[in-house]
Amino acid sequence: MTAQRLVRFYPRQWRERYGDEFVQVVGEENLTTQQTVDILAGAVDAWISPSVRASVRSSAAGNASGGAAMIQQLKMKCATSTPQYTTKDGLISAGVLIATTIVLLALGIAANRQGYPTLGETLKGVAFPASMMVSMQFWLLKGQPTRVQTFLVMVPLAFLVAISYLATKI
Amino acid sequence: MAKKIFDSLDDLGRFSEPALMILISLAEGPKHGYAMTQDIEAMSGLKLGPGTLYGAIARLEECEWIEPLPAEDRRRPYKLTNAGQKVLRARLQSLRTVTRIGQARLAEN
Repeated sequence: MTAQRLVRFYPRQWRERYGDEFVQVVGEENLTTQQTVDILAGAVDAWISPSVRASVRSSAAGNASGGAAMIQQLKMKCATSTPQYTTKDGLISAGVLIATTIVLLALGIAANRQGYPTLGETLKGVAFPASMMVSMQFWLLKGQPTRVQTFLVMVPLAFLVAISYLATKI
Repeated sequence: MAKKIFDSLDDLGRFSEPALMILISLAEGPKHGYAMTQDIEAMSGLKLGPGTLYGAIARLEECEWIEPLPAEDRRRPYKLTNAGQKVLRARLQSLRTVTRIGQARLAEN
């Protein structure tokens, strides 16, 4: 795996801002496992960190449209990296977490009683982690584009359900 | 909600140590990413991964503690800003204090 390939996992604006120099730093040769993990962790960070996204946005604005954007860029301070969720968002998220967990557990118990033990155990097994993922869009992922939210919730969720289902069935 | 202005490297969480290394490296003069990693490794033995390096660079840029210079052959050098120097001085002073106390306590035993 090369840096050229891994850099595709970063957001487009990030690649436009840092992509060239990033590949220059890493070089064209194959990467070690440690470098690969570090780059992938950096990609996740670039997608979800408000502070990195703000930095890239302000740089892109400055590069794209000259004077006015430069003034805007100068106005952007570290304050933009303040988490965008409020106490109310936290409470909503906690409510969603608790309610979804209860619903999934109830569905799991119901499935068991109706004679679907695999489905029942799967639902009970994923109840809390799945609820946690669903609730993320109300706090950690708040303000992120819909497709990013969908990707970061649905992909791990599908993976979790698949693993849990297989583990229950074996 | 009150806006939070970062005024210390501690505010950068797990990126605070890589960010400190970058600031120390740039205190010598402008450098691009590769030169920074080489300098940091020579100075501290710490080998920064590229994901960590650019995570820290993006945060330092946002805080206006470093700023990019025009790119040279796809490599963009960065330089320390006045605000960056101030933050670095404060952190080094704090480390000096901690080091002095630590050494004094070790000497007592």
